[in-house]
Amino acid sequence: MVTINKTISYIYNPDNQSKEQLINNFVVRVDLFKRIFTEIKTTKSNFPEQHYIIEGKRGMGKTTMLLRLSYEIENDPDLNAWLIPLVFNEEEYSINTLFKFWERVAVLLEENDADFIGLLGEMNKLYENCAERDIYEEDVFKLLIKRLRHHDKKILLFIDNFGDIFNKFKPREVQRLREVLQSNNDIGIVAGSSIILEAFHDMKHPFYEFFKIYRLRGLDRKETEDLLLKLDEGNSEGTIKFIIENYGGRVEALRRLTGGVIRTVVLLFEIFSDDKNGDTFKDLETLLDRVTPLYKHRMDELSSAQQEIVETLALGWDGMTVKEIARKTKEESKVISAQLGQLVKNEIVTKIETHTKNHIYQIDERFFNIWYLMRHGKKGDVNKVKWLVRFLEEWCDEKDIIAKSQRIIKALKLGEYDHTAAAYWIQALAETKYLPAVEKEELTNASVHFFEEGKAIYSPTLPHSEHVIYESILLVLLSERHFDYLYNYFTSEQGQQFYLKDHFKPIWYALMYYMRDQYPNEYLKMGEELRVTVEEIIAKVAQMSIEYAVSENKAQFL
Amino acid sequence: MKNIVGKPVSGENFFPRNTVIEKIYRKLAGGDNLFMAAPRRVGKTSIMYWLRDNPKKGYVFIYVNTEAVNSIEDFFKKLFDELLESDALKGLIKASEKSKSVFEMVTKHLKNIKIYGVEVAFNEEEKTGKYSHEFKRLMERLDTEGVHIVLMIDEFPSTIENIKKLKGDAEAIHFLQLNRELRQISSSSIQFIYTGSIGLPIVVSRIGVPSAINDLNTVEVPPLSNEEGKMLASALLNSNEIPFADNTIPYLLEKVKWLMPFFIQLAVQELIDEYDNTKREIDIAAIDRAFNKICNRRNNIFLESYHTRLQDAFTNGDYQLALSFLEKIAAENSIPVANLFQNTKDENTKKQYRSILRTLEFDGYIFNSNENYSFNSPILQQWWKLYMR
Repeated sequence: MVTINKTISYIYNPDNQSKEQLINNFVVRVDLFKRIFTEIKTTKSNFPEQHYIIEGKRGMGKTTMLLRLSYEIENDPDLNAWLIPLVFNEEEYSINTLFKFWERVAVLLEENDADFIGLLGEMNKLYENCAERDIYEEDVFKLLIKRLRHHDKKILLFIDNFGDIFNKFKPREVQRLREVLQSNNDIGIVAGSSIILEAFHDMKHPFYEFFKIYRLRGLDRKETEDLLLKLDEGNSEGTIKFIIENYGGRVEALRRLTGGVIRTVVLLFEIFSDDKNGDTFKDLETLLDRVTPLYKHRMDELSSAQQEIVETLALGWDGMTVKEIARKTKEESKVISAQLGQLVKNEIVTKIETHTKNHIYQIDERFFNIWYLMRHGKKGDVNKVKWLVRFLEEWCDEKDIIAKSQRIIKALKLGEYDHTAAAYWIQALAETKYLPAVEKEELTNASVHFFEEGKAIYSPTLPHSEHVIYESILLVLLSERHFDYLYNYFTSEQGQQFYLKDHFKPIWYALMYYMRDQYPNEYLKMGEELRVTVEEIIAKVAQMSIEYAVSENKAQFL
Repeated sequence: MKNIVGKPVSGENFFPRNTVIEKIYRKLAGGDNLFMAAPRRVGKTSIMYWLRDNPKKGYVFIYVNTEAVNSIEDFFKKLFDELLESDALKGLIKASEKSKSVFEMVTKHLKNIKIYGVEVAFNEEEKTGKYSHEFKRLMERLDTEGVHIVLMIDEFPSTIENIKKLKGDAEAIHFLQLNRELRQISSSSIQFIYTGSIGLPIVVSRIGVPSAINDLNTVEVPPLSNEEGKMLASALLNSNEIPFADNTIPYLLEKVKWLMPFFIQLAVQELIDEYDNTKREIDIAAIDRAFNKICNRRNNIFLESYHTRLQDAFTNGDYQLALSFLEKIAAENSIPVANLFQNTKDENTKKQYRSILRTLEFDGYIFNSNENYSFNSPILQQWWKLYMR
């Protein structure tokens, strides 16, 4: 059993970790860290020789890299004698002018070095005597430089989401900043920047050309192994070590599945390892909520044709060829190709070249794909957890899947498992090709029991997300032909108390369709407005039955 | 020597440009004020830093960046500020009573002048002067005790553009005339060097006063020679401990073609990344991969700046035309001048086209050879072809 340390929230918010924790957990991208640090360390007389941008998709480790560098400077006696690292908050909403930027630097200096206490107060006094803001900005900057030189210190500013701050500046302020970045010898910047659309807009600022860019690419296999070993530290069973030594292909498969993005690797590892209470899915939901504004903005920026292609690829999860996309979207291949060209250029989509002219396309940022499935996958559709299914199929063999299923069943029986997580696991495990029929039956029964006991929160005003979960469970039960059980549950005292027929009317009528021989009049009571929805459910259940039957057949031969 | 990409360099990171440096000193010795003519990214600011940090005996170079300045008074105030900050002037004032009294005379009329390390007495009531006027007086009367003081004004064309945008053409013309006057009345031991990332002659001719700078002697800063390019590339790779095969440097330079230090540095940076990923000696294949990455990356900040800079250099209509010219030239590799003019009939349009093409030439995007335009840099051309459509 692996101990969970809330790693998801820590990785997403690295400054939740203490300095020692972050340094101790910093096991990948070490070469890059050393390269940048060496460059910084050897620059006293020419400081700042270079400003830096650490560029990479979300979850690649930019913030962690910035913090790691700042901590190393603090710890280095040669550097900390003359260089002060100042780390900005991830969000700096109050900085909307250049002078406020310098004031913020002053605040950080006061917090970090007692020699600078009172600096902000002096700046405020200047403002009282100042006629114009432009002059005030120059004055506070000069004061800042004067104080730095007086103490023989220089500063290195670590600024994440760099563009967010400077996008608010007026053109003249941008020019002023450019002037400072070009010619001042007391201030250096190490900035973090995400690529793709949000950073593209930032490129209108001319001072970006002063920066050396280091791109965080996806982890390679060795780095993925190192990361997983670190996550598995403290596990006396040495599970990861065993996997690496005996099933090295799995690590590579995980790496490819996640694009080598640290956060996604950690996420999948933690979700899989969590047998206790399913809390990691809560963390996932929190994470998804947090990225929703950004990812929604990303989608909004695309043309409608591109949005459709992105949706098709996202819901598919696995890569698709142009022909497959064209078939799904009912659009001509050449139109699809043209749009894909743009999407590849803007790094929304990745092109995986094959030996034929039919290349494969998939969503570039895998966590964006997970977000899309979880937030836009159809109700009750197993697509929502397709990413988890793929992970399970890559990471596990039949033995592992059965073992995982058993652990989930145990947790369900104890009634301690988060119902959201339970629904996701039930769907994903049932969908994998490795779960034999017997185990699938046992899992379904356990979920029924879990559901029956009402361990999940249920009320007449069921929140949308929970409605979706229960709906998916009901569909699984329909596909498994638990008709009598479902009828009894809908019509039970509890079912009436919770208005099940009202909340899940289309499913009730789908059930009545299947039971029309026993209850011929019930199905006829269905209103015409429900017909299409009910027919869709029936088709969906039929499909699920076929897929489960195929899985069962395959499982027999495993 | 470190591979400093993008930012002007100084100290041991500066690749010696002895020919250009000597040319500058020769012209200064002849009493000239200079204009450093070169496209973007050639290293003009780095050359200025070198002069500032390693002056020959008898010379003091003071660097001033006026990019953010947008008024005449602010410009001269900035010059005052930089002068006052300079150790050379502080030394002069301390050593010479005559210099000190000149300084007192001009600064007593000025508000908001802050002086570090120089004690002068001010009379608050007398502070009604203008910086432009007082600076001229200072330049006229300052005795430099035989030392040549050279004011190097970077981003001067941007200042003209800023003033023009804010206050109109008349003010910009007045600004240019003031500077010309300044150069004429300054003591013979005070000289000026101007440069900028936008072409000064183009900016000035757009306002219609090319005569405002006809007293300036031009110093051209060419690309590196092949030998210099080889030395720079080798020095950068060696200092980063990147092993490379013998035939790779000539191949690298062939691909860069236009041997501006920046493009060599950009290529070397990709090779450093390549080595960090593969831990293998750099060979021809690695160079091909590196170039592929540079040219085929949409979010290439450095190359993107060539695009965004066009918006500084041109107004809306001209900007669109400039984009369309570059698109055509990128697509065709080389395009006859006549083809670009084939749809024009009237003289005004032709004049407009010629002005745009001259700016693009001056700023280093394209060059004209035998009445055909081509991109200077194959890297920039390839990127433009892919992303600027």
